[in-house]
Amino acid sequence: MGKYIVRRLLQMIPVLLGTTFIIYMMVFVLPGSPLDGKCGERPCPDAFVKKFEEEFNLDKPVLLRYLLYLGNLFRGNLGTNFYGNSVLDELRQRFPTTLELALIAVFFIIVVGIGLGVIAGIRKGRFADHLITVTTLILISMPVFVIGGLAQMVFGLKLGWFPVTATDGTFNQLLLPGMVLASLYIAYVARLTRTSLIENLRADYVRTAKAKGLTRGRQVGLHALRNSMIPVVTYIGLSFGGLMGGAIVTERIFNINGIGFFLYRSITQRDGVSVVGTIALIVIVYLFVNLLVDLLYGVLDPRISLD
Amino acid sequence: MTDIATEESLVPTDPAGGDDREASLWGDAWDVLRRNPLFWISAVLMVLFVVMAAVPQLFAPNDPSAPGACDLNNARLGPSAQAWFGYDLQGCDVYALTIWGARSSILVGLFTTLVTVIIGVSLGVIAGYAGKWVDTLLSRVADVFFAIPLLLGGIIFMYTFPTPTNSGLSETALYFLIVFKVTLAMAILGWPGLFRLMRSSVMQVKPQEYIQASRALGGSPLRIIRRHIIPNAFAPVLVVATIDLGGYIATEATLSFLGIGLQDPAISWGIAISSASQLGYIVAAPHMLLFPSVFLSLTVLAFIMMGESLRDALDPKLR
Amino acid sequence: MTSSPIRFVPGGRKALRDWRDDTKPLLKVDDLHVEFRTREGVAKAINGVSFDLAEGETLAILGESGSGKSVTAQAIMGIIDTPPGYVTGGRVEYYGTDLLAMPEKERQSVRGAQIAMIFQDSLSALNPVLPVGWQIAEMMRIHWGMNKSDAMTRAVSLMERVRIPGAAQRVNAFPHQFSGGMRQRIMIAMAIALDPAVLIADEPTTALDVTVQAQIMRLLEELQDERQMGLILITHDLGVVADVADRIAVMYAGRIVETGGIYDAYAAPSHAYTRGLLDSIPRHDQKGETLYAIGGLPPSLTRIPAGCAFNPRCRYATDDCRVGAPPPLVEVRPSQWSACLHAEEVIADAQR
Repeated sequence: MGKYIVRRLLQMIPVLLGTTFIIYMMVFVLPGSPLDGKCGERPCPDAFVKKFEEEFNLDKPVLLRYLLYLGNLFRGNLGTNFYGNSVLDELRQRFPTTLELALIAVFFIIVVGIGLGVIAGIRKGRFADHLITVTTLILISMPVFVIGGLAQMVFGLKLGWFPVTATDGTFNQLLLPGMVLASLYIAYVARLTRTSLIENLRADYVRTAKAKGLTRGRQVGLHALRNSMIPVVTYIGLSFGGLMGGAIVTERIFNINGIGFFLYRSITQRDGVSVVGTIALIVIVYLFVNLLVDLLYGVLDPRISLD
Repeated sequence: MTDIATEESLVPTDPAGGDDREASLWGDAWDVLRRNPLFWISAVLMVLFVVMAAVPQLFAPNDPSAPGACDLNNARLGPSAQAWFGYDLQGCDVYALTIWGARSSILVGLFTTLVTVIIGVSLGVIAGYAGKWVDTLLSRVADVFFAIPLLLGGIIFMYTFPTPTNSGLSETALYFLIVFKVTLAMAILGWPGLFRLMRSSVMQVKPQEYIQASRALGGSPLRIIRRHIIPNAFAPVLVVATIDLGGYIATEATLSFLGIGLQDPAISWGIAISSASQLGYIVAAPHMLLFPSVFLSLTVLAFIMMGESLRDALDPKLR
Repeated sequence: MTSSPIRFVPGGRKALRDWRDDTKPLLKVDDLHVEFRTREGVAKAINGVSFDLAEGETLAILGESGSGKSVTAQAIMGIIDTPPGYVTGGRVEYYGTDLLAMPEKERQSVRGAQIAMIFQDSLSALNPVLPVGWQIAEMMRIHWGMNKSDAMTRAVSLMERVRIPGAAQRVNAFPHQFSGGMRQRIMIAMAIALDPAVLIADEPTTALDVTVQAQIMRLLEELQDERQMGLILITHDLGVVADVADRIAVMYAGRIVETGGIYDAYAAPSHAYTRGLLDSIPRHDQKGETLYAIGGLPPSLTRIPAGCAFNPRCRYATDDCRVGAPPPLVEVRPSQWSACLHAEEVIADAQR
């Protein structure tokens, strides 16, 4: 296990360097001033240009600049936008709302996604299975902004079951956006759970469980499900990146003042420092989440630690 | 947007070669496909949308972006006999907009898929065939691109190369420039999936006896790749590429929705949905949101459903 | 060898007393029929199999893959997946009680506790994500309601009984951390955990090395002797069962085609198929000669040939073999039964 962790950590280093390098190159090295079109509609104010050049060491050689940038990134210095606000502060202030939204989404993904997948898996080929398979296919085909708009229209405005917007970010307000954000992954997780469960139900050890005189519930619920959950848990962990992308859209639709909305606003206001800083941070967090998932995988599947 | 379940499981476990087996694989697959209603539904939808993208005039004679096509007096009017889907904010016919909007989505989807297949397959074959440091290097590079979520990477890319607003380019040239940019952004981030699929496929076939024999007989690498490796990996690549295509269309629309992909005056479902989903309009003119949403979702559905039908037909394990 | 800690535990043979009836055979299978309904048609996997098994007796069921030997075992256990598999007729009596007519809940209490089974591939037959001790202890916890620590203690003593070195330390290890032979011992420990009256071993040694095969067979023999279990050994390998089995039943296309004492069947097979199987065993005294193999393939169970199912591959076959109902089992010599129309000829050949 220890060896496995070390190996995964070592493997992560080039990926981390690579991704930050690409983002850095795109923004600060490619032809054209890095400030072009990044201060809203007007040219950047001189004071900001000066500060920007200082902050990002634009007078130094490329590689050194990149290393310094990397150092800043790891110290949590994401730069200062042309409003003079620290990007990190902006994000820190909005983080709890987005976290709450994401947790609500993950809750729905786990409960509804796995639940539907298990139902479809044990009723394979029956009506419930077909219904769930087709419904999830439709959900997967609807981009999150479509689902968001429709959900807002139907459940918010027409039926009035949920608040239409979530400006304050209270739990009640975040419920509908959370479901919207979760919808795509509910569908994926349901399908993955179904496939995985069906595969495992066919496995020899389930037959052994049956031969041991265990109830059907125990064969499925303990023996098969335990194994089926390995890819599912991994997938839920890996969906974090997509969840953050979805949060941009969901927060924009429901007016939620979180990280996603901040990113959206920064895009429309052409606030370059904020856009790049936010995305760089999300990508780094995403990589660490992936690492955690890998480690979790090692815990869930005892076979992994040997190879 | 890639279903992780598909990629690993699609590599055939017993890739014995031979044209007979190849032929029977496709024969069997066709038998299964023919009896699958989902295949027919998605095939009809796909053909419909591709025709719509190629010759929108067939469905809606008037180009909604032509001068004088929209009448502000009609703004936000609901569906009627003259305009089945109603009118949008500028008084443009939503039906015409929706029909003409297919082009951007289909173009971006097809181009992106094409580019990812070319990059992914060729690099995958090289990595799998060459092995050693070439493989290590390419795999690490793929890891890096794989690690950046599609939408976030797309935003950064589109943001890095802003579209010149007053460059003197014609509207058509500008349109294709943006389509090209969106395609490039997604292709750069989208190829590692196919790369990994192709690479593992090659690595699985390479130690097989008939490949060794072919090598011993002095078959050139190119010939071996063309005769043995490509046919063997074709089915899984087709499946993943088709499903991915649906995902790219959805992502393109999302970028446009966020105001960073296609922009006015280009016609796109993403833009239409974006302008329709302002709170006030959802109440007053839900038709503006509904119709482009349905068309967009149906297009994505068509490709994903087609990919899944193909997978079910081509992968005997899942039957 | 101290067997006492294993044998007399609550619910073990004590529970058996509720079932035991000295006037009835331990296990009696009567005219069993099983079919699998698939897209390609109905596969008739078992077509009227009958045999019985006494306490302390070992019956070897022999046949190629697809002969129905494993399906027979699964039907006795009641672990055939429905759909596609259906038991369409017959009885499986355990001390006179028909298991097939039993409600599922009651059947569950028989499964594993009274009749237990060992599978061929121990790596896939054990749950990969649960410790082996846990999997053994589950038997006691579910059937006897034992608490966790007592069940684990018993699991360790069972592992010791099947001679797993360092059982106490390895009780929390996972299946993949054991060798094939050790894993099969764990399967055996799990199967004998509740002291069952019948043990079914489905190709228990097929996946193992020859030396390990012998050890496992010896262990099974020893355990059977100690507990007077009825043992059904399913195999395609005549060599494996020669020293262990009392009786033999040879299956082909879902029927028993020959049955009798193992020595009779070896010395003078009375069915052309048994003869073919015996001829295809490599023998030391025939080094250098071409090894005999039965020509052709077993029939598809969706299209079993008329008459004797073996006729297309049989060198004795005449026109009589190709028509009508399959020939019934007939006692060709004292306690040797054959379903071959040319039994006398086959026996005569063997004695030459």
